Amino acid sequence: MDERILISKCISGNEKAQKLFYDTFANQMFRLCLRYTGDYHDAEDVMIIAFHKVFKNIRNFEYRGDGSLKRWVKTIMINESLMFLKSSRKFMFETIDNTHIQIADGIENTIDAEQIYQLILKLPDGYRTVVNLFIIDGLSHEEIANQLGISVNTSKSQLSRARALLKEQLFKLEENGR
Amino acid sequence: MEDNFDKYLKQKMDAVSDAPISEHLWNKENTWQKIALGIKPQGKSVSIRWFYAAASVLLVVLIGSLVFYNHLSKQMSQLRAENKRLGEIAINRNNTSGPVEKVLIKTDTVIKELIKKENVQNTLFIHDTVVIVKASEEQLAVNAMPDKDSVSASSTNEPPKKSKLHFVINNEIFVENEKSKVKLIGSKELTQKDPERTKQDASIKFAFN
Repeated sequence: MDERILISKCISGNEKAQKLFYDTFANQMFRLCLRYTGDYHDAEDVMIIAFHKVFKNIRNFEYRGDGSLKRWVKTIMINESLMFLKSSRKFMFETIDNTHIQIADGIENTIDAEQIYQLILKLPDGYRTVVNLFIIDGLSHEEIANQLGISVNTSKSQLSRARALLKEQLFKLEENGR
Repeated sequence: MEDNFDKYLKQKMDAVSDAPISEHLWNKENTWQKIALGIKPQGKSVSIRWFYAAASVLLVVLIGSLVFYNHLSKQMSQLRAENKRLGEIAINRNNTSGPVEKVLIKTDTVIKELIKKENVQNTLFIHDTVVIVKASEEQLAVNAMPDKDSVSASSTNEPPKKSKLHFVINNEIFVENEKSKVKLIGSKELTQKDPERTKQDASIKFAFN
């Protein structure tokens, strides 16, 4: 079904269209919420609230070509995830001393994507959030600082530490795989 | 080096962005049931809001109507009382033997309807309202006998003319024309010093010109 028709049916409260809308985005958005919250139950809670907001505000959405709907839904999911992290006081930036970590260069492309996804879920909340926002969802350090209410330097340092930790864990994963 | 790592990580995440999740970790349908539950009451609350809005409008209209009709009925009772008083004065002055029916009217629309009726042939002037006197032609002839105050009344030798309907609204004099439509023919300033006299003058001058 064309996205614009789907949107208009959702606006009119058509339950089948709403279910189709949910089915279209459910997997992607659950994975996104999980990537931010790091917990399956929390991700479900966040996604439920975010979908309510999506259906409540869908009449305000302006269609701007292919992908615009997905971007809009994704933005709501990210914002809701960040709100959850802030409200549940999970949003504490780690100061793990990882100066001892040997950064492994040249990680081979043999590691399964799902394994890397699981690694990200296990990162401390602060690291995970900055990795998600900067590396995966493409925000700048200024935007991250603005969104999270932190300084740009904090954002940069958190990302640097998160990278180092991730590289170390990827290296270990690769070592185990051999 | 960092850029390469970031690209590598993003590619990996894009690769699993839409991958299904094991059902024992997350039940997609259960989550939908919870979302759907939250959506349905929203529809109800919208209809409830519309219901309250409609009820409020109805209440305002009802109160407005009550106030309006209350005001109107007060006005009507005042006009009826005045009409009764002035009707008695008119009957005494004209010394008519038969009953004279008076109709008190307020609006142009009512006037237009009334002048189409056959028996309506005379008017009395009462300030800003009109009293139309329904009387037989004979009675009108008697009433139209020469009068010193009359401007263009018929003489006693001439047979009584069939009178046209005249009425006065807010000091403006109207007459019915051939097609029974209302036409403005002049104006009359009222003297407030002797309202009774003014009313009588108006009755004579404008009813039989």
